[in-house]
Amino acid sequence: MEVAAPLPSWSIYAILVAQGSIYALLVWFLGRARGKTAETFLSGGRDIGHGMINASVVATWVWAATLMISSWTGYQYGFIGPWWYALGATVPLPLMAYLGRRVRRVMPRATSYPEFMAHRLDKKNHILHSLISTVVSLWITVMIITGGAIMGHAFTGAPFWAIALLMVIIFVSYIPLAGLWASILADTVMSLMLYVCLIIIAVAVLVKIGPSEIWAGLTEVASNRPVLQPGTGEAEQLSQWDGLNWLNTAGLGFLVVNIVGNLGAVLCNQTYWSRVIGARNPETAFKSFMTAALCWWPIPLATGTALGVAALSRGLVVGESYSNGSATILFTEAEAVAPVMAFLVLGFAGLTIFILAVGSATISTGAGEILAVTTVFVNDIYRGHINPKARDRTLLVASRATLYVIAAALLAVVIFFREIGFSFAGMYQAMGIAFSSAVIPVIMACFVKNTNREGAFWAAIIGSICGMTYWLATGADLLWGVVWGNIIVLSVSAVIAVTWTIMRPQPFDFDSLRESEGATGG
Amino acid sequence: MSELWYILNHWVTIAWLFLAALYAYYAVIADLVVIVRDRKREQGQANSKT
Repeated sequence: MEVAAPLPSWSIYAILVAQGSIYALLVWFLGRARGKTAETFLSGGRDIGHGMINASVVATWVWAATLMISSWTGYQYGFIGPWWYALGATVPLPLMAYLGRRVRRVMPRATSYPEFMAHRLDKKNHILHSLISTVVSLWITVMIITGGAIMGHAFTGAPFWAIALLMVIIFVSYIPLAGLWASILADTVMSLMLYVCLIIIAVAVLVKIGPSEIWAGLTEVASNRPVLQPGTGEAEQLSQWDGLNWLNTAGLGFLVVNIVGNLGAVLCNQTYWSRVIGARNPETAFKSFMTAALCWWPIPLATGTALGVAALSRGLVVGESYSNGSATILFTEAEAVAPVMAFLVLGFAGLTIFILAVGSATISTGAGEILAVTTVFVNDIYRGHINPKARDRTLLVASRATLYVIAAALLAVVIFFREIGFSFAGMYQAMGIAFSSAVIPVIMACFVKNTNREGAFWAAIIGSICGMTYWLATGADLLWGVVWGNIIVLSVSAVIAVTWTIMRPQPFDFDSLRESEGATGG
Repeated sequence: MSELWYILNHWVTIAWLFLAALYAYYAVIADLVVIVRDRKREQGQANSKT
């Protein structure tokens, strides 16, 4: 049965244009002075306070996936799913607090984390981490634009390409005005708005359905064993019927994927290092990432519980249509359970609030990631290798030009992936295999004075090759294949880096980094 | 899992979300206070110079 999109297409345009306009105006009035030099453009002035950094880390770490996939884990694995999701994705933030404080203390003038690697290790590690950071940021941006545009298309009927185009235009509408500071200011506003949206939804589920009814529904699903996802494998059905189990085994596998994948997405991502660089001092960076972990955790936890677990308890079946009053919505795929449930609880208002939340999450993360790619390109590649004597004015022009070029290229990639039917869920779960081999070398470079430069380099490369080879050998399996792939990546890189360092230690004096600046020191 | 545990779980998720939101708002307002105070001090210094 063909069911029309529940919201008019203009609603998504209005939500996005309104947000973009607000951020551009705020940045223009409050922070355009920060866009006058390349140093303040890329570093935010290095004087941003705890409140804004905390809110920015929360907003940047909330993706469309945080709201959509956490709810899917509630629908797929029951009440424990959102806990696994939130735990796995929170782990990198406290780790980043320690790494960030360390780098700010030993190298106060660093602008990017590859720049730190250049001075701490050598040129080849600098190039490798510049490449990894760029690929991580681009990959994440493709994922979040795709996720946001898929959702916008599904619930408003607006064309996929038009939503993606509008998102990219918003990224480049306010970031060029003041660089990192603009990104952090907009993140702050989005973070505060996001909390309001999610509290409204969570309280509505509490009042309109209630935990007792949800528990009764989960008990019924466990005893009646309905097929909620026709056409999927037995493992998916079994984990849904196990929705009240503390140790849902499939959910535990997702925990491993989430922890390993997200370590790479944060620790090897300049977006989060930029928040470290922009903070007033090392202690502000440390405190902000610590509190951001506590402030971020309940976002997927409460959303996944309110929408995903509630949907499982109601026995929503993928492929069926559901009504709220006279309006009807089609539950197209399990990953779209959150907006469907928001619509069933609060009608059009619920769906609009959810789209607003996802729009905010997408814009804040996307803008931060594009700026991160720009930072690495301008600071590490252009200034580091192409034009080391570039003047500040040249760097500023290069920063703005890079922003526009990357935004246009990303839009083309997103539309291309959509045309060939690349899987959004697959992209998320395979992320750890691609990136996380660089996590151990980064941690060792920060804290272990004897870290071997060759070991750190080859650990990142061989770890990734081993994990990818195993995963592809399993036919790119997205259940246990991806779990073991993630474990192999992290384990192989750890064994190589640690063993090489023990056998051939290369002592390093961290005090030598105090006056280091620029990416040409390696 | 008993009904009581599930109800507790559900309330914990919402209470935590609420507390996180309160803290985020408090920290941003504290930042704004510092920014406004610094701006006023800078303006005062600029006025005294003229």
